Amino acid sequence: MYDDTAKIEQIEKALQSEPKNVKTETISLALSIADAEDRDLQLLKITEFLAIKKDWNRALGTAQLIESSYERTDALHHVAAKLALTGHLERALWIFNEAEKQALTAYSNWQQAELLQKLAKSLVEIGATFKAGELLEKSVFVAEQGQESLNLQDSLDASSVLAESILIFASFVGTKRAFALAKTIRNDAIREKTLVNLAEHPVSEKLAA
Amino acid sequence: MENQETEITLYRGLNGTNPSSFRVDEDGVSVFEFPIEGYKFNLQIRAIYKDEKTAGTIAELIKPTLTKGFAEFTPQFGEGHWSFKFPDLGSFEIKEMLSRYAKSVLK
Repeated sequence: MYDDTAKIEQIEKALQSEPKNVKTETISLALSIADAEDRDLQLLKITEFLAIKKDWNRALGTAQLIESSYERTDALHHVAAKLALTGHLERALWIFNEAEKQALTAYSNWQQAELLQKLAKSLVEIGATFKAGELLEKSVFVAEQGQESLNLQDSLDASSVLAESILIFASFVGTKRAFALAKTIRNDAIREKTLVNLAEHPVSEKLAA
Repeated sequence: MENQETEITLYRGLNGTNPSSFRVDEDGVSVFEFPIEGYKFNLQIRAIYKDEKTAGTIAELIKPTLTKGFAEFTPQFGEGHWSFKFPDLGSFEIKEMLSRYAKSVLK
């Protein structure tokens, strides 16, 4: 039981006051939060803020302080996406790769698959379609594994991510393969819905060569 | 039986309380009528529905912080499955709100 409320409020206030940049004291304050989850969440918010301010090195440094794989991936993703939008493609792709590695260490298969899908969507936006296709393929693979879980909730969440990833992946591999993948969705209701979605929105062109 | 109110407890298994612990898709957030084994926490949320429970039955969430949403009985996704839906909120906002709620009751 920790009460870090005052510290969290102080950090939120500091970020909301729209400073030109984040003071080192604010990062130190986040690091002093006792609860690991709350600490990671505040470090993620600071990273996002630093990326918006284009303070890339400090944004990356703050992201690396995050313990949880999911939040660290999210933070790296945010920095990479912002970097790419400002034309720093080479560095952005390097960070996307780091984010991919982190994503694969997230706790649940559905979380890993969800993160890979998020990264892939951003890569599509910046025109890195080949890499996006690779990540979607991994997202599909990891989600397929996840839905084999004996845990009902985990299995269902994995099927949910799988359905979404297949619908995006269809643009890369065509409707025929997407249909074949959709048939592997374990949950009957999600599988039927995905097959209907694919039938209603057929994809004929491949995004990635 | 008409207009009879039934109060139920719905459960979401969680390994943490951050927004990343909640999977949100177009059908909402999966919750169940029974605790799910294998998680660090089981977040409990109370809800009330009227009349007999059938697929599509809507239950009102009791917690004031969650009144923007409702639970729909969706057994097609699994035994005892309900979907939390928050029609006016995006996926990110739903995750943030449920995370705040989880932190307030579990920590």
